[in-house]
Amino acid sequence: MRNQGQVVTKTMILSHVWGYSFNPGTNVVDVLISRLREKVDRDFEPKLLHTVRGVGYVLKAG
Amino acid sequence: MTVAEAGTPPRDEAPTGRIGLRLASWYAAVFVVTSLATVVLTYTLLASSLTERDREIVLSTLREYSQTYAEGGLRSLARAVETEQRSGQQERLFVRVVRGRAETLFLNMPPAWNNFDVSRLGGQGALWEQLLSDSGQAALEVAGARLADGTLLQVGKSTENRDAILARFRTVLAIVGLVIVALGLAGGAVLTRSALRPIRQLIGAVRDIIRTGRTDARVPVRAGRDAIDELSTLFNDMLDRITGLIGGMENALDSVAHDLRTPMTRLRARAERALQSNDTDDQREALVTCLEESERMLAMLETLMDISEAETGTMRLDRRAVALEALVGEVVSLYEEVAEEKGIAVVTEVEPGVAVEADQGRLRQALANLLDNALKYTPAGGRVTVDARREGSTVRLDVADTGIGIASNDLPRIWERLYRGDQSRAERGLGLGLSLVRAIVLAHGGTVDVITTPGRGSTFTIRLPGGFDREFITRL
Repeated sequence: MRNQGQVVTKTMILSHVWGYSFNPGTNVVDVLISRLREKVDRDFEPKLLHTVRGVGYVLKAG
Repeated sequence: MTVAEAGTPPRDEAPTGRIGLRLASWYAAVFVVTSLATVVLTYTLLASSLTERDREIVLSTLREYSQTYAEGGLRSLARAVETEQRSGQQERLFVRVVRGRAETLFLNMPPAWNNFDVSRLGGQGALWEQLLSDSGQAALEVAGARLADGTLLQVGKSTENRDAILARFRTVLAIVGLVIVALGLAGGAVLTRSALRPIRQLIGAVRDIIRTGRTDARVPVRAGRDAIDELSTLFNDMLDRITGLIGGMENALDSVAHDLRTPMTRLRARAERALQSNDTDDQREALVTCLEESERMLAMLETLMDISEAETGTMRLDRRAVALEALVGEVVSLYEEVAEEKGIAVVTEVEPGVAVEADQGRLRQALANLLDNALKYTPAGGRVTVDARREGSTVRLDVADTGIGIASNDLPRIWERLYRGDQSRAERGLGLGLSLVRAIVLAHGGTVDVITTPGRGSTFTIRLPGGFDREFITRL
């Protein structure tokens, strides 16, 4: 919520949320975000979690 | 007025030279003073015991002759003196009997002692009197006793013999003293030279290193265990550390220069092309690529810094007892979804109560890297096992997979920074994961190795020192 409207990268997510400072070789963050999206956005409009291709994710309404 | 030149002043042998001179002087001084004190004491003891002996002889003879006089009178005394002096068995002595002030009744004076003027001796009957010879070189020590009839019996002995003995002794002592002083000076010089030799070698080696800038030179270390050997060893250790740090920095710099040039060029080319284009979608696409590349480069730089820090021993480790059960569970839960998505079963087997003293964040980073790798290179339907258990005094942490394994020609190089095998190139990643794992484990004083069968899977094993028991954990 702190970074609402800002694009956050996968590495940032990994280090801020889980405390891992490394560049994962797997799509660990993508998988976790898609799980989160299922819980947050599946049955609601407008969608809140948006993918910024190649960079990361952004949390914003609309 | 002299103006000091900027930079390092010219250095010479002065500091050790001065220490050497001081040590040598002190050694010589202490040696000479103690030796001379011994010599003087010996001389004094000898002189006083000789004097004591002479007086003893004189006094006992005086007592004996008083007895003889009391029993047999002057005649008997004269006979006794005659017999004893002629036989030569007794020491030659001066014997005189005086009546009144100056009437000599009997006189015996050994022939060699003629240069004493006995008329100058007093007749008061003092116990001890001393008469200097005419030449003043010797003295006659005379003891006197008043006899029953009022006459005075005197017995004396010349100090000639004693003086001669002492004179000879003095000559010997003077020679010995000279030898002692010479030995003291020479010994001091030799001793300080040999004691300071390692220091001079150390100085020479350090100076060479500073002058040539070659940090691979080492100070010779002798087998002994004294302070100077320790200093040499410590100095070499310091050089090792400096060499390690410089080497680490050079390696890191090389890697960075080499591996950042490619993405930088790519980034630059992409940005240039976007600037020339008028298509907003294309420009947007270019920005995305640039962000992606810079993100990658940042990650690479950070990881390289971590590796360098860990390898050069400058990584700050916040060591605490880390329960492996919790740590493994945490890391595995992060990858639960990824494993599920890829259809890989993750199994953990952690011996309860196993713990290590480690930096929790770093250890988690290492374990996550290994697990990330295992999942990356394991096809669907595979299985990844993480287990931790005590093994003697160490703790063993295995991450085993049923993946593609590592080709034998890649195996020796997988720990190198930025090395990527042929199979690895197809996957995402920086080629730094295993280097980081290895650097972190080594910084903790542990080891990491791998057993692999191409096509069947790999097992990475971390061994860390110390495994605490359950009580240790509960006390925390």
